[in-house]
Amino acid sequence: MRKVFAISILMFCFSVAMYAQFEKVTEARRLYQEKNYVEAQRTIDDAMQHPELELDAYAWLMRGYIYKDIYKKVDKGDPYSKARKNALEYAMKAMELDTTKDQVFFSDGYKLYDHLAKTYYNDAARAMNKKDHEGAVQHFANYERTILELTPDADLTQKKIEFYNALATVYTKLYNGDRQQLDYFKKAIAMYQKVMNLDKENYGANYNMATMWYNRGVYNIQQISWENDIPSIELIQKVSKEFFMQALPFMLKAHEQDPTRIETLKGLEGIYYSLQDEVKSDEYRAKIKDLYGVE
Amino acid sequence: MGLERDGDKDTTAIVKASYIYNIAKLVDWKDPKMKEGNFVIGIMSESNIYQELIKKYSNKSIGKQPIEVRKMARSESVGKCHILYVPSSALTLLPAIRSNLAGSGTMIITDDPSGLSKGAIVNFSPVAGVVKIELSIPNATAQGIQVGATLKQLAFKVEE
Repeated sequence: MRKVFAISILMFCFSVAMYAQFEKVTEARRLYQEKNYVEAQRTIDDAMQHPELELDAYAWLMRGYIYKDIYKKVDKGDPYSKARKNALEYAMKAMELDTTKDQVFFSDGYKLYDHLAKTYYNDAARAMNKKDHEGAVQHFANYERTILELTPDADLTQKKIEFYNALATVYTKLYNGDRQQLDYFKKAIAMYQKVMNLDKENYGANYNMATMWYNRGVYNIQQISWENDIPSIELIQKVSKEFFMQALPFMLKAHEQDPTRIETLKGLEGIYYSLQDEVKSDEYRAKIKDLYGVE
Repeated sequence: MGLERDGDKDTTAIVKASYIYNIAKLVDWKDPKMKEGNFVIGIMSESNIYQELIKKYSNKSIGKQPIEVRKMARSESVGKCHILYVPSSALTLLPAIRSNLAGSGTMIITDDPSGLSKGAIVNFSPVAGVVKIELSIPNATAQGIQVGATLKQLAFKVEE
């Protein structure tokens, strides 16, 4: 009889504690709805200290929402906000723990997670606009990681192509701003190569790769000055010729994709001209004239 | 033939202009009158080579003679220069030009496989994707121009 009484007391205490923690989650929700995000965060963090809520999908989801808005409103969308990382973790937890029949917490957790994961992609794009290539790489890696955590078989090929092409453009701009920075040249080439590894027919990557090599060859020759003697002029030409040769297969590939596009016709005309192949250069020049009436 | 391209990206014009300047430094005009006044480089038709010479070499000198770059009309009655560049597009005029400038000390430079046989002293020739120099010593001698040993050594082909 004494034993039964003791168990009853324990169950009562547990229920009271449980109720108290649920009350805190409700309070956190109220604060959240009032847009008092900092207090909501403090309250939910306090509630989640208690092991009773460890397996509660709703509490984790609520915590995820609150941290999402800490990231958005308090941290003002700071791409390095730790709150976003936490919100993702909490949303995932809510999905994992949801045992309800209609999976409502799973569904909401999924939407929250998916939304937050996509913000990494937007951050990558914004970083690229600011030529912050390191930030862009980091944010895109986070995007890729979080999306694959949510959907391990997600096909990110198009997003990767889009990102690598854009990142290559950033590297190209940085290189064009200072031609001594060959590291940027190499990075741009590597990015276009990554695009082609995913899609070897990609017009933009082929065309831009060709243009990078061609422009490097041209730039090399443009540096010839009155100080260069004949042997050095020959050497510069030979080095540039290698760059023009590198450009050629990519420009031909791009031309294959779109045989009437003027950029590639002009590109081939220029590459062959720089390779001293006037016959082929003239062929492409004639095509431009036929198609566009310009030389 | 005779492609005109955006000057900045006309790699061939950049190379040829640089060669012309270097060639001028490596030959000698026997006629003392050719060692006075400006060193005149005439460029027929090819505006990119002309622009390149103006941009990079017009403030330089050959010996004590300041370089003067002149754009020449496409005509057989072109005036005497130290160096006259005749592009392949104007090659049909070359026999008449050569005849008019015979013994004047003008070094004719071309960029056509038949250039040397038509009287040019220097011809630019594409060899494996690179512009190289061909020389005709008899044509130089006929114009009273001595080609230095260095230029002979650097030429891809020398007609003795």
